[in-house]
Amino acid sequence: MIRWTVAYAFLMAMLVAPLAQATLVVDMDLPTLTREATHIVHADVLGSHTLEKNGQFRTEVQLRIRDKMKGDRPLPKGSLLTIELPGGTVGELSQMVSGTPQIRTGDEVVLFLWQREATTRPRILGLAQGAWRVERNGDRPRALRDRRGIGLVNPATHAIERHANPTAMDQIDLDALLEHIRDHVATERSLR
Amino acid sequence: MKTILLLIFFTSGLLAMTPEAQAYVTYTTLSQGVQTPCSCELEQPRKLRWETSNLPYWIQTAPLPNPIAAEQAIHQSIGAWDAVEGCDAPDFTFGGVIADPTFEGKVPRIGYSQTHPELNTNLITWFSEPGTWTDGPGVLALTRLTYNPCTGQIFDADITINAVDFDFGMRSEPIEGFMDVQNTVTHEMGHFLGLDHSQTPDATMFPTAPNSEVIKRTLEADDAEGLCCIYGENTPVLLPAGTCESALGSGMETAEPNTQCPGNTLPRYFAGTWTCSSTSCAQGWTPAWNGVVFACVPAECASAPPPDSGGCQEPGTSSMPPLLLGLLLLGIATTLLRSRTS
Repeated sequence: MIRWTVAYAFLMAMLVAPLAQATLVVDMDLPTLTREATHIVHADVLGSHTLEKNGQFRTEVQLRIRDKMKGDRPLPKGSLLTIELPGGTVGELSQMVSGTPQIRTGDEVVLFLWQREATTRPRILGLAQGAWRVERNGDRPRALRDRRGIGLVNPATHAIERHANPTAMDQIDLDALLEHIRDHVATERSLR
Repeated sequence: MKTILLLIFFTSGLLAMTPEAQAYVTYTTLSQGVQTPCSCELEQPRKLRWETSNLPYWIQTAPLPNPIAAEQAIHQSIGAWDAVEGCDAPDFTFGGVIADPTFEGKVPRIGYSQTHPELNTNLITWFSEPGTWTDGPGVLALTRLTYNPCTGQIFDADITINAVDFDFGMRSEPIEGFMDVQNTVTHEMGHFLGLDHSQTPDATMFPTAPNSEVIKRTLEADDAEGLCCIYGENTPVLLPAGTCESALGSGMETAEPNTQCPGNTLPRYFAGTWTCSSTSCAQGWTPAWNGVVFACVPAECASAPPPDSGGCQEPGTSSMPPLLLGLLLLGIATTLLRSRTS
């Protein structure tokens, strides 16, 4: 009976969970994010400021690197890296690009980055899919990812499968996430 | 047996107490994507909305294999939103086809500039040349809104569509393996007007859109209600005279205006705010709101305080009140204890 009650509670929780998604991107699992990313970093957010150029707002976010797990660029521990997010606020104007992850000063993050050219600043790959925020409240640090603002497209069929779209924040033990990433990076290197 | 009865009891209580389905979600000044805090202190987020009655848009379809068909599909998408009646939503005006998405071959027309107003076209544009899509691989379409973070007033909107990585179809019937242009643009125009994604699976603003799907070409009731939540209804319902109870109906509450309106306009309460509108009630009647419709009721009935929500659901809020969730959890806990003791 307890099993049935737990199943009932789970079902009811699914029924009442809010769903608010905002943009459409191809669903990328961890191996795909690892493969497509030009850089993967574990870092602290030092600050940000928004620039406007020709009507397009972009927010530059300064990171202090804890560890670099992928990428050709030399990024030793303690070095600085500036990435770019679309949108932001300048004076009395804000620009919003739906699906962009929220990153705030003081956050500890694990980011999958994508750099189009060597002269451009890295961006977060797959919008909200490529950004994990670390929480150190409990016994073990956890990595959290909020994909509720995006709709995920099946990479093979381009169909959008409802069950694939998360209704809650993704959570994983930080050490487990970092280990998975290192494993995928090593696998990718061995295939080259 | 007792346990099953208890479960049925709590389930039926939950279903009875859940508010009427209202799944559309509106963007607000606190919606995602803004990293820098606003200089103004707002107790409540404001809805993002256009403050104009005439909303021009431009199209750039040159990169597509059939630009005329694409243009026609976009007009039909916009026509679907224009056809919503009973709202003060802005009317769309076609500004023209732009051959070059840059201004004088230099500056992209995407975004909003106070110093270069010639760039401020509300543009719907495709990127199809390799290397031109800069928002990352795997992103299908984006709507970029520029607005005042304090008031929520939208100044500019641009829709950019990724034709580098995705194929789009322009025919009247769906084409297997192709994203439908009219379907995609109808959905994105909802964002353009200030709507976030809906929780109603049949709605145009629901986030899923399998390729070759065309049901999002037309709007559902939830989409129209979301639009009217942002822009307000302009057709008050005239309720029959009689006692206040019969005039107001079940659950109807009257609303006291908290704003002074100029000229022959009247204050109207809608979507959590008061606005001035030329829509008026007949002499001896007064505006009232029951959480579903705006209505004119006999003036003597106007005494109750204004309602809290105005019927609009804010982004990120569950339709289930915390108290109800607490009761549900209490019920489950009680059921568990009873099943153990038995």
